[in-house]
Amino acid sequence: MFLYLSLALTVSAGIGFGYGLYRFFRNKSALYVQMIVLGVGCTMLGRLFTTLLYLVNGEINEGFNVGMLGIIGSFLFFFSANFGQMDSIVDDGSPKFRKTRIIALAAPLTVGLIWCALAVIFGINSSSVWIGIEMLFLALASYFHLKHLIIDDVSHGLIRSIRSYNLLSLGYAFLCIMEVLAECFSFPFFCSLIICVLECAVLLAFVPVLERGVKKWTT
Amino acid sequence: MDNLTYIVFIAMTVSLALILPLAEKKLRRLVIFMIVGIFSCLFVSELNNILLDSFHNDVFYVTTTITPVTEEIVKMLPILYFAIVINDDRHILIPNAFALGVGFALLENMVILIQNIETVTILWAFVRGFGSGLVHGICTVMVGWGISYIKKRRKFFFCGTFALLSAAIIYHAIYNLLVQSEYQYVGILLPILTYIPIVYLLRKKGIKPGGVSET
Repeated sequence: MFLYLSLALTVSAGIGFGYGLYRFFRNKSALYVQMIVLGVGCTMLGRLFTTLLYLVNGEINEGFNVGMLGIIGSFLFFFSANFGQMDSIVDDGSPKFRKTRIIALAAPLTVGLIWCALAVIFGINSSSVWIGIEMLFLALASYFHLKHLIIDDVSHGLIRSIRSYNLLSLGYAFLCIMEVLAECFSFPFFCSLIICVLECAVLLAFVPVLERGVKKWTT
Repeated sequence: MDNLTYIVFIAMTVSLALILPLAEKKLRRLVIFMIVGIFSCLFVSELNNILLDSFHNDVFYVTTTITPVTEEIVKMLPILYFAIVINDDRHILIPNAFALGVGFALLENMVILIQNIETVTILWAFVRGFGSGLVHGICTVMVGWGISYIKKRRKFFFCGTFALLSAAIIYHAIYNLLVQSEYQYVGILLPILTYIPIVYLLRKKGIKPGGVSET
């Protein structure tokens, strides 16, 4: 059954990526948006690998598998877009945003605490180390997603218009953690199904939500 | 048998090196990158033998999980060096990155040919030529695109290149996984289907082989 869940995630990410390519790569678009589309593409590749591994091998090996790089790569793309492009525009480094910066630390700290709890329960082994690496990149990206969600908009509506995208990304990060937890604690299949359905919905909504926000930049 | 890899390496690189004094700058650079790609493959083949030993000769696990990582990292290093020390212009970097990938695939195909000399066919040659050549070329181009930001946008470079490297590793692993399975024909189609839109996109952006910019 996990093969079908993985296939559904691959197809959803593929549709999202295809739509993103069609909307933002045909003509010159902001690099910020293109990075996010590439992030969805990276998710698609990672999920595709996992699906094929289920199909060919019948199971996923313990510890590291290349599919994990799909999650790592996609959150790196999201992080790179926010840190490399958007953050310097919305946060000039002045003390008035200090409170926002501190509150935003709640997201990576929560991710860190979840990993610590996992490491305490299951001990330090190859699986928990690789989950930790995956969560590190997830935490980095979630810091900027939360920050850009709550930061005061001083850039003429630039960040306000993409708040729904940042909320969606934060939600996706949460769902990815839930997916890991479901696997570690062997949740009932029903829970994995719900997580998968929500992830599919988020992957399909990523680019259209972003597109709606980005449109406001030019109007 | 091990020596054969070195013999093929010498035969290929020496022949290619003969072009260098006669070629003009852009062609010379492409050939140099191809030679570097061939050398990278030689290095990786030794590294992979060590890895294969440490993973109890589990060829499926190593080729779908470990070698895509090592191969992509080793191929990335010359591009990174070129971008830092010589030139980070995307119009020069991307065609050269593709040449490096193709050079890598050349020796890899030769090594596999030597190992399977009894069973190879003309069809095998086409399959490996298109499949492996394109996979290595495309993966190196992906990473090269990220590296081209090294001096322009540092913040993008560090995270973006690693993200692109991740994507290239997964793409490579998918190819390796498919060609070893009963769906090997899908594996062969995968790089061809990716190559066409990439070439279209690069041509549209004015990036041509030889590093000639139209824009």
